[in-house]
Amino acid sequence: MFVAFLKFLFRWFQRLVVLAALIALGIWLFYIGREHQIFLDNKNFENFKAFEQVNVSINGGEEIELMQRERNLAKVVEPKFEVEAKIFNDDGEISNVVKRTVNLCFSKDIMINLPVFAVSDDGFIVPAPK
Amino acid sequence: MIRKLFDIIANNAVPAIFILISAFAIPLSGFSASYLIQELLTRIGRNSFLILSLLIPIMAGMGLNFGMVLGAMAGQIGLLLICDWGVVGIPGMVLACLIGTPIAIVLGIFCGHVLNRAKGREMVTSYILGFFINGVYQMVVLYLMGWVIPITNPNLLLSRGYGVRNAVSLMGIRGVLDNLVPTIITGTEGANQFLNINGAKSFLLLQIPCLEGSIRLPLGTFIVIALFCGFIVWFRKTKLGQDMRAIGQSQSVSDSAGIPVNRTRIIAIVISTVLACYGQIIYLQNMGTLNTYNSHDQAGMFSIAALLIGGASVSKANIMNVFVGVILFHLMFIVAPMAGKNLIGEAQIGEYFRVFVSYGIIALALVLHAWKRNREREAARRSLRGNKGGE
Amino acid sequence: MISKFIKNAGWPRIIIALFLLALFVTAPFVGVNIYTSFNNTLVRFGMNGVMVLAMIPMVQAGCGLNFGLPLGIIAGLLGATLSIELNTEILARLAGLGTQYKISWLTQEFITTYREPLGFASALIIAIPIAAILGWFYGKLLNRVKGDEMMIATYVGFSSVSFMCIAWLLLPYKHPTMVWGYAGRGLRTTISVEGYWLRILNDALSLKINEHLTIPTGMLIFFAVMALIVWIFMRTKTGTAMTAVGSNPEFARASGVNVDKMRTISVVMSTILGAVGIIVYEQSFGFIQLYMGPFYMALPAVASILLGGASVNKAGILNVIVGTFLFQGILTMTPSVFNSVFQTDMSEVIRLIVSNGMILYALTRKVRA
Repeated sequence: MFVAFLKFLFRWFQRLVVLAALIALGIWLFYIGREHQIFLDNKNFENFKAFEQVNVSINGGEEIELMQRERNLAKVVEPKFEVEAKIFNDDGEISNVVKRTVNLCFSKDIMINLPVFAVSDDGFIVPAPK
Repeated sequence: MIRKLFDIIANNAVPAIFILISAFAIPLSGFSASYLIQELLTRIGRNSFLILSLLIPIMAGMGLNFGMVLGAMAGQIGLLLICDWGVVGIPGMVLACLIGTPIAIVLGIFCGHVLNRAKGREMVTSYILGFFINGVYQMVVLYLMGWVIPITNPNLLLSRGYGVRNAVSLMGIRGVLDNLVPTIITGTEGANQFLNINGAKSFLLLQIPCLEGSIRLPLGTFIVIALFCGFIVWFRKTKLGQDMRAIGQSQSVSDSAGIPVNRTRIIAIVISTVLACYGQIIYLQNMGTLNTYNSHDQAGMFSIAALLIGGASVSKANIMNVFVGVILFHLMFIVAPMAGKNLIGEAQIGEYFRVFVSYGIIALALVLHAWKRNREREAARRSLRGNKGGE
Repeated sequence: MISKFIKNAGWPRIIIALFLLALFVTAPFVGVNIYTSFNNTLVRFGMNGVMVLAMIPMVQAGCGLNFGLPLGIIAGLLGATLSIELNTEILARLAGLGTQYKISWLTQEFITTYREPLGFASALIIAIPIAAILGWFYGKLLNRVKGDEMMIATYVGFSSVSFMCIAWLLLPYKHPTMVWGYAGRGLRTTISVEGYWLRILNDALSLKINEHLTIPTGMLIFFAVMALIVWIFMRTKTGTAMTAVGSNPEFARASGVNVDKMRTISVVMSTILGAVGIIVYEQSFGFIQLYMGPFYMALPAVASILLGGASVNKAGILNVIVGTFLFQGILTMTPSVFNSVFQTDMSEVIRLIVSNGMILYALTRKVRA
């Protein structure tokens, strides 16, 4: 009797484990498979001034060129990615190269404000425009 | 003797007619061999999985599972959700399958119970059930999505704020399985040409000497299909598979042998529905667009027509039938409009012709099957009577 | 008592009837004109009634629900299009007959006055023999596939519709209002019957009650006549033999009834009624719908008769009347009521669920032994 009950419990336990594993798999797939829209923004933000020109490459991909007050869009899959910004001075020479890793976790679309990104480790992620 | 001849014709009439039609239509269409091969390979990858999902209910004697559209709908709901969440690539596809599975299981159990109440007319019942669930599906997709079920992506929603658009782009998962292992088949000359254009990227390059042009092979999908074929071969040998075959032979005998007939029939339908769900997802990843309100309808009809064209009957089908059917059916599908155009000057005729053939072939196969079964029944009755008279 | 009633009627029917009742009750409160709704329901009843009637013979003869109704519809479409194509010829021939055989009332004047009713009659007269021939082959086919009639009927319907799609393009119709203007051949997808026999039954003897409600008396009388013919036929010797075949084929065979012959007659009748039904439908609707038009037309008819209380092997005139009224009532009421309440038209979805749910319910009933 008691053994039968244990067996019954064990069977339900097994099912629960499988179910939990499937749900976990689903969440993981959701986490790694999501495509994110990354808006890149080269505009004045509070007292950070926009750059003359900045070239951005995400995960070492193609460079996106942003002139002053320009906004552009990049798409990445996977929540963790590396952003590299080459900042040009007024003479058209590279003055600074900033490299940071961004982790989005479960949020979907974001905007990176490049003037902030160049100087600060946080605070450069702002909500994406609709 | 005459009966034997009749049997041979009845057993192979459908594929024979098709080979004849194709033999006429291919030269008329004027397509090149490499074009035809490319199209056929694409379509084999696209459709085989869906058609394979029909095999298990046939094994269990439940006829052609017109209820496979239920699975297709489940798969589409999964796809709509991942589209909304923006999950792309292989993870997106797997996630769509993962979401579709429980829906398909529930629908399959429902379908199984309904079919158990309608023994002897499973086909017409599953056919109507498809329509019925289609109504429910439309209710969910057209009214509940965006209202009860959260959908945020404005590209998916109708302008009124709820309900999904008729055409949904699946760019995020388009071809991900097909191109998982990018494979190109070229001729010897074509190979160099191809490499010149595309550079030495990570392509699997197969060479066949006398082939013009290059052909893309959806190897990833083929691998999945091969695995599935393996599953079916294995499944037939399991206890469950044996039970199903026994039920397909005779329900009353299996029942007295202690096989839980109704339960096994439900399992057969559930497996078929879940597989149809995956099949539809594979089909749509190849197509790249989802027609929210039509894609599943066509899935059922075309799959069944293709299987029958491959020489399967209502009570007997194997993996061979699936591939022969997919090739013959889609060969006609590709060449008919062109042939119609070149023959009569109107592509529309060919268009209607292939619709006619799809329906006609299902009708013909059903008639031949019922006819044969009734003749056998008649013969059995006569021999029974004859024996009695002799004693 | 109540539970017995529910058991007899079946819960889907009760739910649907209550649903319709609720719609009628709500209608005045949400600003839907009850007269307009009733008018539409009546018109649709008349339009579809004969096609639902077509279900009776086959159900009674044990051939199941006639999912192959599109075959009869095709015969009707052929009759309708030919009656327009050959309209002038037919009328001229009639005038010729009048003078040749000295029929005093068949004058040129008579023909000109009754041009439209004569056109309608010619459509019926052309359609019926075609339907009879098609139905005869169809019946022979169904005799060979006993037990699987419904599935095969469905696909016979589908394949005949798609076959006719090719035929409509290729048949040598010439009449300018029917063929595509630019090509000069191939019939259009919808053909107007205006100027031929538009609303010929609807307007005959019609009674205008008020500005929203006009009773299409002519059409209702036509339906009543057809129903009476079926009713009388089912009570003739052939009709009772047919019912016997349906309820117990072995017994019928033993008492000397030719089972296959009875079944064939029932199929022929059903096909003819389908042909007549679509012509009645078209004269009210105003258009002949070709190509994929008749594709799904069997389902509403099947659903209607089942909704009226018929089963897969038993059906009567009362089932037809009740069922058609309920089904068409729902079809007319849902869009108007739902539109005013939810600002959206759910009628298509409700039609799908109600009609197929009803068929499904009937198919899953235990067949009596």
